[in-house]
Amino acid sequence: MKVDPLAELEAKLFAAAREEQPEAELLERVLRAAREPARHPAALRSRSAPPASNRRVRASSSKLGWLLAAAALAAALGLAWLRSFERHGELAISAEHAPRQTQPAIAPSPSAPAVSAPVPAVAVPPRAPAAPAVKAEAPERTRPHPARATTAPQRASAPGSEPPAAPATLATEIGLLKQAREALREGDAARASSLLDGYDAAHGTALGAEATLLRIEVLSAQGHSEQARALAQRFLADNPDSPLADRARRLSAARGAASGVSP
Amino acid sequence: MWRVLRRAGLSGADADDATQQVFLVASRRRQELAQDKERSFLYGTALRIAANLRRGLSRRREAPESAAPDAVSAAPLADEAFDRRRARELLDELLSRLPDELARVLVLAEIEGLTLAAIAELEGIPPGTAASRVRRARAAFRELLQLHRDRNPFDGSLP
Repeated sequence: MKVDPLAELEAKLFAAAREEQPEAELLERVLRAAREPARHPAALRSRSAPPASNRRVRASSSKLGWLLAAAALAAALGLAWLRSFERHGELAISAEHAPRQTQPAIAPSPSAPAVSAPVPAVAVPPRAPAAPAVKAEAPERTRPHPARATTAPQRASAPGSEPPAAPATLATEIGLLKQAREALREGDAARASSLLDGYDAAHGTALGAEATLLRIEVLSAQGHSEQARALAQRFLADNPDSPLADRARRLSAARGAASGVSP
Repeated sequence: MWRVLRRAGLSGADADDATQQVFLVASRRRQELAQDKERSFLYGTALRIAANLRRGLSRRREAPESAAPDAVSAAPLADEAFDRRRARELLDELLSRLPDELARVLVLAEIEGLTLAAIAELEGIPPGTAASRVRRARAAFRELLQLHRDRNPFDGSLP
């Protein structure tokens, strides 16, 4: 078969662009501020040369509140953006950086054998934030509160609080969720479920909302429509104003339609 | 988003700054964000910030940052990473020659892999317009690429 060299070149150019990722530092800068604002007040700062830099992000400390709020919102809105496009393309601020983080050990290897997860009786997110339960084999798990995506700074800056013993960096959390999404997209719901379990076990909290929505899809893919629907409805009850709420509604509606139940 | 900003003509460092700015703006205006409009808002904000940054950069620069396409293709290849970098440079050069509206939809379609419906939503145009715009963008890009190929027949670094 004759190959069109122009098409080949075109594909190469686009592929090169798709492969390009921001440096992990960018992600870390945003995420560090979201997690530990008091410890990293300068987390959000321009890295470009002064003449070309964004002076707003390097403004006075009076703007620190905005920076922290932005970091928290970045986790929510950014993931909403990424998730919305996940079916169509790769992540912009990609979790490819996850392996380059300082705590990579908690990220399961992509090549790790998929754990055949039992049918999970998922406990939907409680209204009161609970300590993330490390899931072993117990089918019941406590989902991190989705709203933590926007409350992480407060949590991290609690008086006298120490950083979590082994917190997953947000980049690592994104990495886990990305792997789970890819597994789900490839039809391997069991592996996706296993990766989400890994997310829970790694004390992933900042992207709890994102993880919850993904869990809904995984449950649905595994045929657990009722559990998926219940989880979606609980998410909506707890997070009616979340940027991800609309997607949860659609998932809930889809699950309801699939199971013949009105959402 | 960072990739969109890069393809909008920003350097990596400027794309970093712009990414942060986008979320700063989103944070400030989050109360105004309508449901289902978050993506469009972020996209539109990103484009505006990119345009502002480019204007600022062009005022400060005497010479354009990007090399001419022929100069790009004349550089030797050292390894695969450099090969990819050169491919991106060539891509950016070709995109810069397209009208903005065509370059944007081409990036969304070919690099971000968005559907026509998603492109229409982000661009705020009807799906039919998005379809025809993507079609025109692909054709125009192909012509530019052919032109580059014709001018650089011995560039063995690219297929």
